[in-house]
Amino acid sequence: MMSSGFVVIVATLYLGGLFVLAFVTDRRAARGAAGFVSSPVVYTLSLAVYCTSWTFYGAVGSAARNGLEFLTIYLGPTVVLMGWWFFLRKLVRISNAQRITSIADFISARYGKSGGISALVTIIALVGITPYIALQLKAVAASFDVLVTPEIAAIATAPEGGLLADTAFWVAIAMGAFVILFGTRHIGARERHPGIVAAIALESIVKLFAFIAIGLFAIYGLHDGVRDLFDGAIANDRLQHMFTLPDGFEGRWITTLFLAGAAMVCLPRQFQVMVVENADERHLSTASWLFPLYLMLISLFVVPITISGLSVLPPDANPDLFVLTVPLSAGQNTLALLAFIGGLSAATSMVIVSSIALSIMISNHLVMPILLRLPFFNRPQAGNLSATILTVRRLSIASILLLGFVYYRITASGDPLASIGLISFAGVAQFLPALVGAMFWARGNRHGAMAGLIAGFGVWAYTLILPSLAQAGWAFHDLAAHGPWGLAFLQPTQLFGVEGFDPLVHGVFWSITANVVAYVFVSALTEQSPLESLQSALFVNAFRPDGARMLDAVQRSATDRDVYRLAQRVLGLERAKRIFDDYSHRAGPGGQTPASMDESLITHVERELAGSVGAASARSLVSRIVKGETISVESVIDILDRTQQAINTSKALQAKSRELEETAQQLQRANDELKRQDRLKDDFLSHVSHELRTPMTSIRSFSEILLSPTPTDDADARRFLEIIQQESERLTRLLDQILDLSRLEQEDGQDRLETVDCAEVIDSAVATMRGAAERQQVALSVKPSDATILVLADRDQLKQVLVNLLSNAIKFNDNAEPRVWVETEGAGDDRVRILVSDNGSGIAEDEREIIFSKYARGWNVTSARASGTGLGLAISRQLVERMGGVLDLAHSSAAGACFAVTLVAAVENPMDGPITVEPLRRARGSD
Amino acid sequence: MKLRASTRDLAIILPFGALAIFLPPYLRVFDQPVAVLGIPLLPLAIFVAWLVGILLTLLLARRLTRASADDVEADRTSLSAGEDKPPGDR
Repeated sequence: MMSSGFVVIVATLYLGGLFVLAFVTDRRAARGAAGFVSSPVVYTLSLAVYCTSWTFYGAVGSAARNGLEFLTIYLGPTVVLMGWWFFLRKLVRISNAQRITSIADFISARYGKSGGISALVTIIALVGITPYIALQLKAVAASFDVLVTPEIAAIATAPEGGLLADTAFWVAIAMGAFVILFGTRHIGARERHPGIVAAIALESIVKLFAFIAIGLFAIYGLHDGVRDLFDGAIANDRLQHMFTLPDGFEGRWITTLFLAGAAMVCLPRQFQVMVVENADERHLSTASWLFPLYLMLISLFVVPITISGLSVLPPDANPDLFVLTVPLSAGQNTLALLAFIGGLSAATSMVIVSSIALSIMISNHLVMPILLRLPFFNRPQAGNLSATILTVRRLSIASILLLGFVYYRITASGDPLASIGLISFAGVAQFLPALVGAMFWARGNRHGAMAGLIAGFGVWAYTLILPSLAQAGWAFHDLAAHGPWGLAFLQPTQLFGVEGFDPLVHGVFWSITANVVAYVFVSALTEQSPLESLQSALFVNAFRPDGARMLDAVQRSATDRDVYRLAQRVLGLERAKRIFDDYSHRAGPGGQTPASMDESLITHVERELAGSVGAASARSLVSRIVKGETISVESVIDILDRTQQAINTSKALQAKSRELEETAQQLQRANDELKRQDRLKDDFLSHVSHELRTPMTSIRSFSEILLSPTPTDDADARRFLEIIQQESERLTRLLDQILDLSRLEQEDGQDRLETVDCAEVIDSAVATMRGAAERQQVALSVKPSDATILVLADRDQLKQVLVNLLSNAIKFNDNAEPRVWVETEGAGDDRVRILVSDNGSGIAEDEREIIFSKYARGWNVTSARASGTGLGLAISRQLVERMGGVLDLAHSSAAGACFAVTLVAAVENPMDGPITVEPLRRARGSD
Repeated sequence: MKLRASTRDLAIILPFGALAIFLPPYLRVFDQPVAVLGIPLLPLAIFVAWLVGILLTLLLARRLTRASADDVEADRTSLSAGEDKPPGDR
């Protein structure tokens, strides 16, 4: 036990130290020597305002009750900070460009600078945060009581005694004074408060130091090191929940993780320190790892303190105060006092930043819009508004703290620390859909944001606030127990009959669902105003270098005098003058301002105003003095499109050039093919001419002989006439074949096919060629097949084809023991192959496809003497194709060639009549 | 040094990877009644994963800042030359 006077003196000295630090920093900053305050480390430490007394005391309490779940509160922000590059950086960049002053301002600025949205966000924040401020006061009062009360077990959480004896009262007064002194000294270019940031950073060091000290004491003072700590803990039944995850922990785990992550950006105080007070975007990169490290250290030492509290202290000790009672129980009063100061730091830093953030929101979004409607503030001779704004801020701060204090006094007995904090988190998490949509979804609009916020806030109040009020026995008892009008499915904790969920999970699930659904659907169904389109373009495309040009889309004008007067009224004489001086300096020495400068000056002043009174109020102030405002959506879209177009064009060009390349290759191939065909045609013509010429020559010469005056004897004459006749026949045959070929090529009709027995046709073809084979001493054979093989074919044409193949095989066989054989085989898929093979020297590789061409010569040239016209294979191929089959070279090597005729097998009853089939076309290759 | 696409992808993958590790299905993997060096596995694993995540974020932040600092420098030069800004980091 310590004397209360001593504790009060220490606490007062500590708070006094904060005043001095803030004062000195502010003075230095005013002189332009921001120094260490603008370092990334201070920025990171100021983020640690996240760790309130709810962390300092409540984390251990939560760990003692729910085990490792407390970690989610620190893992959530860790993940958010890790995503700084694409999320927080954008948030900060937009806010700097738009002179954003609070989260309400951010959301309202994006959705058309809507005054309604910023007021709604402010109210939600106020409702959500007041209990949280009360929580801090409660923690300070409770910790003070613990320090000065002799019996640990006798600690009452309810404040006793009068107002003046309540520590929380004095803390609230001190904090109010501090915030009013350092938070509302003047209206800055933006709501930056170096003095306060410095104080917060120091408090973050103090609370971390105090917490680690208690943690180390728990490990090395109460136990014999880490090993000893865990050895005892693992054996202790009360501590098993610290090392395992209970069944069904998932719902709460995910929910609290989500809430903590959302709170990192949505809590007004976090938004204040992270976004509004951010002096340099690059500080985020340090904070991205340093802040998670801070959180990890705090979480790390929660474990030994919890273990010690549960193993050393009596079972009925309040776990929310283990941080104090653990050192106290060991008689370590100094350490307990350090813990108290740490807790005080945590509580006061939260109260300071929250009340500043909320007071800015209240003054800019609730009070100023009303004041600006009053005739008094619109008189031409109305005085300086900045003094009014500051007064409103001061009053707001006092009211917030009063509200928090009153809440604390009347709910003193309520929930453990953690549950108030989480309900508060859930309240501000309602900003998340509108906030994320603001940055990444260009279509999201004011109506959607409004609907989402109202739906989310409504369901949050209904499912989380109402039951806790009922539980405290204040109101809504019947409603909470039985649902409105006795409708059980509307029961606040079991909405739509969803049972068995933790109330927090249930409330968060339904409120966020309602919020997102309302936001997305209403946005999709309604249209944006031109101003919204402009703002959404500026927000969503914040990283685009030409973003500023989008402001060209706004056209409006005002007299310089009006703009100057307005700036002077809100910002004060000095700053207004500076803005105008800067401006005319930039406009150039000639002072010649082009027409568009009108708009850029107004925009500039509007931004400066927004930095003081928020986007919505600034807009309403400016819109009173400007004339002919138009926002051309087309030009916004145009600017957006231009970059997009450039990207698209270059992509299209790439695709086009690829296409062109391909086309060029195709052309090249086609050209080669044409050249080849052309050459073949020439060959063909010369070949045909030659073929024609030979019989013609003999016909002519024999006819000349016959016609010559010298008589020929009858026998000779007859022989000559026979030759002439033979040659004429040969000519006719040749011409017939050429005609055949061109007829075949032109006709596209189908022949009437019938079922044909392969063996029969083969035998007939072989019989025809038997004589020729014997003349050339070629062994001609047929390999008999096992069964009757039926195909769909034209009997005569098939025979013609086989005869042609056999005749080629016999003619060109240059083997010493020439052999030609025919065999038949199934080729799967209802097809049949007839193979004609020989043991000749095969077909040269480059001729393998050419031989099927009608202009081919190659193979035949050596044998023109025989009777070939060179058209045999070409005609055969045409014929086979018309039967729905394929004729190709199955294989060829030095050991012989093998031609294959593939035909459609007839599966039908051979007795059926002719069948018509769709030909199985050979893939068109080179011919 | 220009910001490389792989670095930018990592800046997105890292937070989501960290999130996944801290979600129930993966956490359950470490929920075993085992102690390593006298420390129960589950809390140890969470803190080790946390620390690794912090180290990765640190390394990545270094690379990202170096790259974008050069971008800013490039912007400044081109601005002073009176030209349009080159496409930035996006």
